[in-house]
Amino acid sequence: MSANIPPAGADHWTECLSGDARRLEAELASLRAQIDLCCNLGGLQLGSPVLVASGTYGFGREYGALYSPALLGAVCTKCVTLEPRAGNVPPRVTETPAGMLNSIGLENPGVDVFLREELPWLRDQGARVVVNIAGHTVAEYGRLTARLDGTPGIAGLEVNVSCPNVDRGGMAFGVSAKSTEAVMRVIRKETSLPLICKLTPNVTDVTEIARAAEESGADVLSLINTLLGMAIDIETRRPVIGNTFGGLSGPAVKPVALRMVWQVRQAVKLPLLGLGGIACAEDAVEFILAGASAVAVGSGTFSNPLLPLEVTVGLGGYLKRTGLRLADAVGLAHRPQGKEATT
Amino acid sequence: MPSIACEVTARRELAPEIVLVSVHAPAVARAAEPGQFVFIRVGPGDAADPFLRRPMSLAGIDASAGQIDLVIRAMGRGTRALAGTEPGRTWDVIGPLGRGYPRPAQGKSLLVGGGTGAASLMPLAQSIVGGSGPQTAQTRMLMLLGARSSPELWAPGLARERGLPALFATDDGTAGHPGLVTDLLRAEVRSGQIGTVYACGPVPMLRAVQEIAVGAGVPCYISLEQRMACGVGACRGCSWPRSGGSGSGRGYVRVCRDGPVFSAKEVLL
Ligand SMILES: Cc1cc2nc3c(=O)[nH]c(=O)nc-3n(C[C@H](O)[C@H](O)[C@H](O)COP(=O)(O)OP(=O)(O)OC[C@H]3O[C@@H](n4cnc5c(N)ncnc54)[C@H](O)[C@@H]3O)c2cc1C
Ligand SMILES: Cc1cc2nc3c(=O)[nH]c(=O)nc-3n(C[C@H](O)[C@H](O)[C@H](O)COP(=O)(O)O)c2cc1C
Ligand code: FES
Repeated sequence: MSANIPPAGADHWTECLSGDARRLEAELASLRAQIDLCCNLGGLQLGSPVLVASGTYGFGREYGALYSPALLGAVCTKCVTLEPRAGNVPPRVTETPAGMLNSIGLENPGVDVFLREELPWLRDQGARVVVNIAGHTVAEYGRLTARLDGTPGIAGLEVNVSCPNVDRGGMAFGVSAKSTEAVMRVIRKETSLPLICKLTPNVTDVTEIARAAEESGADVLSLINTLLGMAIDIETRRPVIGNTFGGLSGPAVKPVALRMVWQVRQAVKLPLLGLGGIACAEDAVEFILAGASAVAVGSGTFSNPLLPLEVTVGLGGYLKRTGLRLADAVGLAHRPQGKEATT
Repeated sequence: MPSIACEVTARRELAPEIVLVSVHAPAVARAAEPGQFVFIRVGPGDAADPFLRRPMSLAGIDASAGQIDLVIRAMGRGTRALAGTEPGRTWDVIGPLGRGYPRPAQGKSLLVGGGTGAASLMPLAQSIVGGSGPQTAQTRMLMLLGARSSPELWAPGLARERGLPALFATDDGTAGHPGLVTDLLRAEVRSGQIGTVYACGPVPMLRAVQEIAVGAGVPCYISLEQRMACGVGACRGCSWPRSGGSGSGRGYVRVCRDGPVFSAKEVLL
């Protein structure tokens, strides 16, 4: 046994999964020859309707060592801000029943480092990149968008409106129709890139915010972001999460996410990106039937790093088995009772 | 779910609630270095609950047999299930993960372990003792092992089995040196000729080790534990403050990928 130390970032762990990764890649290639997985998501031309969710895939390098991010519909990056951010105090994650809480905060290296070090790598991999953007003031979103606009290799922007608005006492932009509109309008002025507004579930009426986003320039709505929650350690008698509250994700939130996709589908005309608790291909099919044109795999990747590929292959298999075209499956569960799906 | 099924080949109780589990995991054993860890799925692969994997240090690495050993303390839901696994069952194991212990400098190495922390030091001790050169095991390396009380003191037995020189201490004086393992460290450091100090255990112990080693000008590496989600560096859930860190976006390190082993000067304890 040698005491050789691998450099930080050695990727030997991918070897134990490489057999499965290669098998899934082959299955995906064979499916593509038989069915059409391409989708147009509000102007975003994607080769697959399965994306990875912001914050659960970093900037792609870690899971990129296991399989090519070009196989994904797109990579929604960890949020990017104008300035570098350290993020929240640890502990930042904890497990909850069928899910987890996180309070990563906005930890990211800032837009300059992103453009210099992270985006070129993703672009070289052939990945479609959706940059998740965040800020603490309306003006900050505008300046950030201006900085990103026109950069080759960016397919679209996803606006994280769940950040605290410092001009409104720290209330999240996305819980008010007015603040959501203010953010979206400023961003819209700075770019013609496809714009995804990411809705927070921590609201009384998600359709009200969805309409506000539609009216202020969004091309796509993604939902849901995490549900605010908490956990308490009964031995230390203190909150487990350093920041007291964290965002709930994972299978526990799926029924809530699905219900919101259903409601928003009925309220607006925009295409939807559905996410929240997807842990298998069947979950993804549910989101599509509820009205999502595409889906994103989030924290499910943590326990199964190959989940995004498995969901893609499983969804393709469903379309093949049922003879449904992807576009025809979107929102199919809304048809009146008794009316059968056309195949 | 991926087909990484690793068979549990042996299981032995080392102390109440503490078991040594051997797992056939050739891909992990082939690449693993002392100080790295594995990430284990609790329960069947497609279950939504428990949702996250559990990180466990490698307590033994046998590349030729394709086997790894883990020392698991049953303290919560996941570790109770893992510790109770009968041989013959399979686990979904990802690894090796993280950055392990750097090579020792010239001179004797001291390996300080508290509680289950001693697990990750075992393969390191074996690699130092097994190294080539004129020195004897005793002059190359000494393990200093601590526990609260003698029934919990599992590590000296395992060290003896593997031919690893060790001293031990219990907080309540029921076995070995009565007092803290860091008392033993202080005495050893005073005797001089120490090349490198390595430590893994509870944070108060690590803090004391850091103080003693830095005070004596001896290079010191510590292994940290933090709650994790992805285990591979993608989510920034396992962040730990850097020493001298500011709000610059570079203020935290990732325990799962930048660590779990850090130079004692790198992190705030
Ligand atoms: C790099 C590393 C190496 C480790 N090596 C060992 C080892 O060799 N032997 C051993 O017995 N234990 C080890 N641990 C600690 C072990 O991972 C935890 O005891 C275990 O995750 C607890 O799970 P649970 O379901 O029993 O507890 P619960 O409290 O039910 O777990 C709830 C959640 O908190 C997390 N959690 C709780 N305690 C810890 C902790 N101390 N560290 C990280 N996550 C925690 C769990 O993973 C889970 O997500 C190590 C931890 C890390 C980070
Ligand atoms: C660790 C972690 C970090 C996240 N970071 C972001 C982020 O930076 N921006 C964002 O819009 N959403 C972020 N999210 C939310 C996810 O993108 C997703 O909306 C949510 O987790 C629900 O999906 P899931 O249940 O599949 O994980 C994060 C989620 C997790 C678990
Ligand atoms: S656990 Fe995700 S970065 Fe360490």
